[in-house]
Amino acid sequence: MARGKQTCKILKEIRRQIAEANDIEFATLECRYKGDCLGRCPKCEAEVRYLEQQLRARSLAGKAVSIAGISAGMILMSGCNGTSSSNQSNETLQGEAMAPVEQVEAMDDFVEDGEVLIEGDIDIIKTGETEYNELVVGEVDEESDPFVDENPEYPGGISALMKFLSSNLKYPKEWDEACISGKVVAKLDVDRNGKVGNVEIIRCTLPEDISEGAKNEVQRVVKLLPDFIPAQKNGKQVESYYILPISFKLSDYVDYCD
Amino acid sequence: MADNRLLEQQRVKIIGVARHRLATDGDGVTTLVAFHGCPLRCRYCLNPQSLGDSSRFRECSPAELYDETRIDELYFLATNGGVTFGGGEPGMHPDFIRKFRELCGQGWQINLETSLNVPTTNIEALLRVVNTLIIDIKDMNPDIYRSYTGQSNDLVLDNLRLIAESRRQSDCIIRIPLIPNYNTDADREASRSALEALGFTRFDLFTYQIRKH
Repeated sequence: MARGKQTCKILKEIRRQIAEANDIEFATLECRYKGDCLGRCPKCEAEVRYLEQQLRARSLAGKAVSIAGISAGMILMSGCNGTSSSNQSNETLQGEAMAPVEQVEAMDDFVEDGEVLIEGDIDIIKTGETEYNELVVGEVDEESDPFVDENPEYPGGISALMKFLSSNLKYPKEWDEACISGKVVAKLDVDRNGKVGNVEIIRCTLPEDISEGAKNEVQRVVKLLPDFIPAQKNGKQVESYYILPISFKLSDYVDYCD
Repeated sequence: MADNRLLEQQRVKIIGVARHRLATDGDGVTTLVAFHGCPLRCRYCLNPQSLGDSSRFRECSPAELYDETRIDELYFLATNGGVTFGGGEPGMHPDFIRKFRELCGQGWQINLETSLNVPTTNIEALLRVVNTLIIDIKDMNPDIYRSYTGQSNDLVLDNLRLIAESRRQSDCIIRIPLIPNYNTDADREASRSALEALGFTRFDLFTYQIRKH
């Protein structure tokens, strides 16, 4: 089982135990999040907030609240190793296994070496209400070409580019049945006349079974882009490239993950 | 004004916060907080982003970190989990961690993943607020240690003695790695014997798997 799914299951069991110990009505269904769910999708987080609310209500009503250590036996260091020890092999284990000082590289929120920075990228958010209802937030992050003085620019700037993408990107229909989030980063060659040429998908974090559809969709839409204002070097127009990161998200996980 | 200055001084550089870690950084559900900055330059360091002038960090105060991590308080309390400070070297930030303990209270476990290569005053201060120390000892042999980390292990030995004098050995888990090209099984056994002589009993013997960055 993928680590994410295992984490999700364990956290769910902890929530169930807390509810049971405090006579809180609690029904949780199979999470259908697609990808490496770590128990952080809005549905899972909402269950935690619900429990907190119920526990507060019990406390205010003068009822006993039992939380401390009720799931303590579930997770001991020797029982469930995460990815942080992935570069090590335990030979003799006395005491317990744990992540070493030097091994937080696998932390989920870290930027990996060699990864294209995608802060402020375009988020395409599907609400689940409309078939193709994308909302765009954030900004396009332009990865600078160090060999030019002025990078290529979309006519009308980033907001115009965001508008173009939100109007043209469509979610493949097969995604309707799944909770999906991830990123596709494309590198666009822009010639000295501003024309977009070769497009290379340099990164995709979407689940494998849907990544092809996403990459194809990005490739399709990028080909529709009008000409860019070309890059400049020493006052002359030169060929360059443009890094375009796009995040795909479903905004309403609850509809899909319950 | 003075309070503001103090708060500013307590802001630290953090390279990452990872939630919902199970059985990797202590018992229970833990959140790993990795500091930027380390006094060592280990040959096989897996977190080079914690070193130098990397821009891959953000600054935050103890209160901001507490606000960020308390989202998992229910899990922490139910599983006897909490926050593990790693890095980088968390032993360089005793004031921050002590302030964090004030904010989170005694219900959370606070663990430290440390090399102990920091001033003894830092460890002295941290022992008052930390539940478990996960110590990456490298090798007790000073020559091997210097060869691998570029630093002396004098402070490490001082801090091990400090912990022993404080009778906190049972709160420590000591990781003794087999470091390819730097030490041998016999070196590891020698490290372990030296540590046992100081009263430490919990060891994790393992091998560094070398990966290219």
